[in-house]
Amino acid sequence: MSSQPGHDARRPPDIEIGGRARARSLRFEEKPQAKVDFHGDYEAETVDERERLPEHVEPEVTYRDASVRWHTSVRLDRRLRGDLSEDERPRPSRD
Amino acid sequence: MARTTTKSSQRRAGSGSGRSASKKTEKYRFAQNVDGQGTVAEREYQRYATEGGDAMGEEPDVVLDVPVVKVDSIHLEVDNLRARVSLQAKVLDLVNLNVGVGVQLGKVRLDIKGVEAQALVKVRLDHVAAIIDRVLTTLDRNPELVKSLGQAVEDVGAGAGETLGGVGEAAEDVGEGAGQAVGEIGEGAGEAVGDVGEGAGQAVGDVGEGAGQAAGQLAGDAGGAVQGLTEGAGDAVGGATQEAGEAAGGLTEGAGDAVGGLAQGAGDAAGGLTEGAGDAAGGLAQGAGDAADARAGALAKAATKTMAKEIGSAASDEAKELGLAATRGAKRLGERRRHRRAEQHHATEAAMAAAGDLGVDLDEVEGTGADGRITVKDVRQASAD
Repeated sequence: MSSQPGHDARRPPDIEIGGRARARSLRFEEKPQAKVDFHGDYEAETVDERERLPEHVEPEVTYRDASVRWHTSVRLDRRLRGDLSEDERPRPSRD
Repeated sequence: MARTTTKSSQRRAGSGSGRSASKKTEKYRFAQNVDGQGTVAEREYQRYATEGGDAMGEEPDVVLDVPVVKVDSIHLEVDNLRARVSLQAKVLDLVNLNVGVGVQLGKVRLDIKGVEAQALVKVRLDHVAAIIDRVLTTLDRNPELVKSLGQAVEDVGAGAGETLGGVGEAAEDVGEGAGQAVGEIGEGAGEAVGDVGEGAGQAVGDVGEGAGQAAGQLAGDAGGAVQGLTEGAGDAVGGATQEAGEAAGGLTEGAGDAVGGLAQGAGDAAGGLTEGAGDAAGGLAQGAGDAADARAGALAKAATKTMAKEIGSAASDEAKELGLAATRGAKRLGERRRHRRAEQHHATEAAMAAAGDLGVDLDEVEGTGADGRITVKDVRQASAD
């Protein structure tokens, strides 16, 4: 789990991307190249939970009953909205 | 580029919190799901999908939901797959929001068996909307900001041109200001000249008035004034030449006496006139009756004043002429005396003057001129000896 300074857990994220996968058998033929990057003025929080699956997988290795849960939350930088008081913070407007 | 091989997959995109796989149509139902319970993955998904903002009552505005993917066997090859979610908002030059996340899979080859997977993307625009709303509210309350912001770019673009134009206008202003200043200076000068003229006129008037007053005073003590003038003339003449001064002194005394007499006579005349005028006024007053007393008195006073002025003026002119005459007389006396002494010493007048200048006693000089007359050359020779 990583988090930017000033993260406000009470505030719902502006962007969320997440996924989870569970596999009975998982085998990589070569070492995967995966990268996640953020841009803009953001505060980000990432959750990466694995079961029977190392952070750096090895090729030609079969991982059984493995699961992974990955989730990232991105919020507008507090400086862009930091002067919003509690009353000014957005409220659900849908009926 | 992405290439996938799947036996079965399904995805749904739209808004809302999604629906469970058990509620989907028969076509997409997978495995032996129990209606109303779902698989373990489905139950986990329900918890996952309602985490965070949804639990806070803030539903997302955009949802990309892949609730459950169940695959018996899949061979997946991915070559440089990029996924990017960005949230961007821009209001003029006031606000520029940009935040996002990207996922890149460079190269992945894997075999998966017996997999269940979910994916979910949520985007909330409430904060962005709140920020933009506040910006627009600010602009609504301060519309001049829009104008200034709109002009900002134009100002930057046309800044140089406007600067040059401004310089030209400034130059014109300077020229106009200079011309105006010159005009004002001209006006001021004209006014000043007018003031000077007016002041001069007033001064002349004052002078005339002062002259009248002076004449009046002269009429009062004409004798003494003329006498002082004469004495001054005498002193001046006395300073011219010592010898002539003596003669001038005598003449001045005589002139002073004459002026004194004249002044006295003038005073007497003025007195007589005044007295006569007074008598005449008195006679007129008596003749005209008591009602004319005041008028007769004024006439007598005016007549007396006029006569006194004329007498004073005449006395002043006489004194001047006397002084000049004394000066001229003193000069003539000096010349005559020098001539006599020159004849006495049998010398030329120039020799006499040179002897006086060089301190030479003419009795000791031998004349070499015509008939033994002493010349300037003789005087100089005697002085050299």
